[in-house]
Amino acid sequence: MSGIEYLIHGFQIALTPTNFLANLVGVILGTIVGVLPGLGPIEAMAIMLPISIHYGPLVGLIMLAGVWYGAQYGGSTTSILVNIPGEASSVITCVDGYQMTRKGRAGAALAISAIGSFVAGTIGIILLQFFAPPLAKAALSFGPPEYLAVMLLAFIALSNLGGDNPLKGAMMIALGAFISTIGIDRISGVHRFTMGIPDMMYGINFVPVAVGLFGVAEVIRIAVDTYAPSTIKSVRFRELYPNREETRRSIMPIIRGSFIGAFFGLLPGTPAVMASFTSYSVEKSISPRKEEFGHGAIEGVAGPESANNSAVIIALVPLLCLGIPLAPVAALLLAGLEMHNVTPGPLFIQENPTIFWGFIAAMYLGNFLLLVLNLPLVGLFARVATLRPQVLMPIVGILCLIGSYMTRMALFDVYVMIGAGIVGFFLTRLGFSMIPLVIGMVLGNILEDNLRVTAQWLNGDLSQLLHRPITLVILALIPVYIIFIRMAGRKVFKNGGKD
Amino acid sequence: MKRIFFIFILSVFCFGILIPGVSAYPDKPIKLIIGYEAGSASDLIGRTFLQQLEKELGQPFMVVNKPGAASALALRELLDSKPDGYTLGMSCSVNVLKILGHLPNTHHDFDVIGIPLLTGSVLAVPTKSPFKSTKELVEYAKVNPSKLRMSTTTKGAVFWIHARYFERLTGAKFNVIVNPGGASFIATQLGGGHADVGFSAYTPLQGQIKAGNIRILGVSTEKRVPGFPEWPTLKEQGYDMVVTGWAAILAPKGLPADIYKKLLSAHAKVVGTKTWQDFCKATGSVSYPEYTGEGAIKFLDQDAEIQRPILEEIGAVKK
Amino acid sequence: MKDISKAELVTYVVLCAVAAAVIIPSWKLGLEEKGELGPGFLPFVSSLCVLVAGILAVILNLIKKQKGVLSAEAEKIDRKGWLRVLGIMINFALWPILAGWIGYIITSFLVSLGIAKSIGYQGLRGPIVLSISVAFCIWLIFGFMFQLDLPAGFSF
Repeated sequence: MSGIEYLIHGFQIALTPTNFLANLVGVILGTIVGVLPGLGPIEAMAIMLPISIHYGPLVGLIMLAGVWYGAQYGGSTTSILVNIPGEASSVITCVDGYQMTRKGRAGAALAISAIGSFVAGTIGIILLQFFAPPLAKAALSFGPPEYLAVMLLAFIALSNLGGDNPLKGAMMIALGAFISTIGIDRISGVHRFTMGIPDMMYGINFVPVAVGLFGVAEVIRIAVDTYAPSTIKSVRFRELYPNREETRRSIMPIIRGSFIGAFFGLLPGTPAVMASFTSYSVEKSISPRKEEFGHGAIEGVAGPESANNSAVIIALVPLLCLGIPLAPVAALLLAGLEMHNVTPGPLFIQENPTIFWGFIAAMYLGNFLLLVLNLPLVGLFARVATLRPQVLMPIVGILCLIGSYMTRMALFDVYVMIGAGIVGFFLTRLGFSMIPLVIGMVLGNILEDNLRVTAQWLNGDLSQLLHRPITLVILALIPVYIIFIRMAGRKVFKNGGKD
Repeated sequence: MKRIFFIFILSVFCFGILIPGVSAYPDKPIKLIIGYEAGSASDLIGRTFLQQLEKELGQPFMVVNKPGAASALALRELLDSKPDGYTLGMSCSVNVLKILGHLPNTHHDFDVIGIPLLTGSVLAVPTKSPFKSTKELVEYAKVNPSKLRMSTTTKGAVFWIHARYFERLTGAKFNVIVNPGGASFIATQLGGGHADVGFSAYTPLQGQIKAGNIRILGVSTEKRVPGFPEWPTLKEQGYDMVVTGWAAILAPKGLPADIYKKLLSAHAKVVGTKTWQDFCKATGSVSYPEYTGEGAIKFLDQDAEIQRPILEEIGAVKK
Repeated sequence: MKDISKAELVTYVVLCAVAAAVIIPSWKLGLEEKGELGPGFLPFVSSLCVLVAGILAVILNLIKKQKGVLSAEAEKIDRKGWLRVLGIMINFALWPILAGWIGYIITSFLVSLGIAKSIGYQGLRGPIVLSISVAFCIWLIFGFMFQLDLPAGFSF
């Protein structure tokens, strides 16, 4: 059977009533869970894992995958509407998404987010379908020095998000990096700055901090001028969906985001978070409308939302083809598969064509289902944003509290969130941007791990790097990136032209 | 209208409180805290065992992954939980955490349910490695100290201990690379040829082994493993390294006697089932129904005594 | 204008102080151990960065003391505003404190009420209805549908 025949066969499998239902249920549940702050794809899948076991491997897999990217879709909804990141990869969507809501363009943001996610998901699935084995080989050729090089490149790329004041931005990144070190060191096992508090051993969890910095801080901020005329205009139906210009401006960011996401999907750690941040940074760098970023630029929603969707799909490549889960979400899927005695790995596609192709077809289907589900709901969701703060803020507040608790069922996280909210409120007032703080927390962990593993790996012998072509190429990309994208960006990439 | 609504809600809540009366254990889902990342070898053991235990006890299990400090963080949470039989924990290092300094408790501070599985570590190399046997590996390493990269997991975790022990035992020095993030990284590094050798359980490596990217040089058990008789043991190759990894199911101390008994018998029963024995065989492990309750405690005591000198030798003991 | 500048300076000083406080312990954790990077490496580098950037920022700020660099949002808050802000913060903080005692449902009801009042929801009936609905929905989704283990205190 050729590839296309396999795929058609796969669709036949995916469209059987059981599988279709599993897909639908997974996708709906995933969206609900994703919308709730603090509960992201991982938690959603963990909840669904025991339930999915009761069905066969394919059905269970379809359901889990549906939950997975349903949660991915859902997470952006609260980010855009009320500035609460639904999960880590939706944090950057808060920035421009929420600003769009305040300008009355919530519907457009939500719709573009859904469309971008669909396109990126489809591109991701196509890549998975046709290029899985070579992509897996590529993933395998990345050793510690390569990962480090990529992280350094990402670090340079993300440094343009420091806000208007580079010194403040630097302080925030460094602060974030420091906070990420608190807890028990993963490599050496020593306690770092745990100050004798047992809960600190786990470290400061990212999600409560993000929810606090963005969500809670915004609630406090609204309390300041609660009687000021609401900037959130009520919207007419026609205005709910993206207008022509917004759509046009979103096309390239979506495409770019899809491929950026696909790249990060192959890397270990949290591909979706890194992908969404990098996409935002790239879009900001090459946009002729830089100043709009941070105040409601549609590219700032289109790019990241696409990136985080394709990242999670490509994150399946190492799992399915190598049997190695590099991302925590993939690890959960692995657990699910193993419990059905299905071992993903290089022979997986050959030995289990039914499962693989059925799964691929189900992903196309699920992706489509999500689009169909979400688009009509855009109108409903957008109206939520028009509720007056007196009603909306208590709801938002309680959601933040419950959400932060649920990350690990720990009250400690709730305190962290509140602390982050208060700190975020004051720092934002004084001109410090929260984005570099968040970047510091995310990158700090990953960069440090890769630095230290690579340092062990090199054992003091830097010349080893000369034997690693991939590393050298990536490192060489750093100056290329700086010159090409940042300085010449405006001239080289005419994004949508000037009107 | 709102008043009626309010009273209605109140009564629903009150009703809810009254319902749970006295009923047989277990009458609601049981939480299992696994001290390792989701999808890791230990996590898989836990979840698969639970699948069987569910059938035996008739109640679903909820798994919570709390990785960190070789399961010390998960155990700390377990210590704080109520000993009502609805929260259990799983650890592969509980008897040595005190020695390592990660936790001021040992397995005696818990009610031990049992040890469902024991597995040896495998010594693995990338397939294109020039070493065809452990001896060749060790000879080379002795002549080229710290040149060969040995991939392991976090300090204090089982495979790290095994790796360091192997070093001391053979007298060869390796460049030990500690990977945060679990055994899957050992698989990537070996499969991609970024490391020269590694100690791991079989399960995280199986994908790569089946693909032909990784080869097994030896296994650290006493006798050859029933599931994989083609692996030579390290002992028969001349290296007296007999160390097994295991997973233990624990409960907070103070379980009511009848609940404890019920859990013990369920454990022993499941371990004896063909399904579980088949699973062990397929993953290169073994299991004994006697390692339940007292039997498990005895094993843990013995194992701690075996591990203690190893840990002292490799300098992992916290003063 | 001057007030905001002062607040900014205070912030820099606080951040620098925190950084300075952790630099020595970071260094003690170990920067390097036989070819590897010790656990103190990143804490040291990041706190050093905060310290240096903070000092630079203070110096620059003092030099251009005439014009304070403000973000667009930093208008002055009047007394009533501060009271509201305080109210919100206290309400948030009350949730984790109370939830362990009296359970998440009642606490959510109370905190929701508190936030509503702090943010200026006039009257009593509106906030109470809202808060009951919020608490109920939370229970329905998290406690009932998902069967999650939320703090129960002595109630549910």
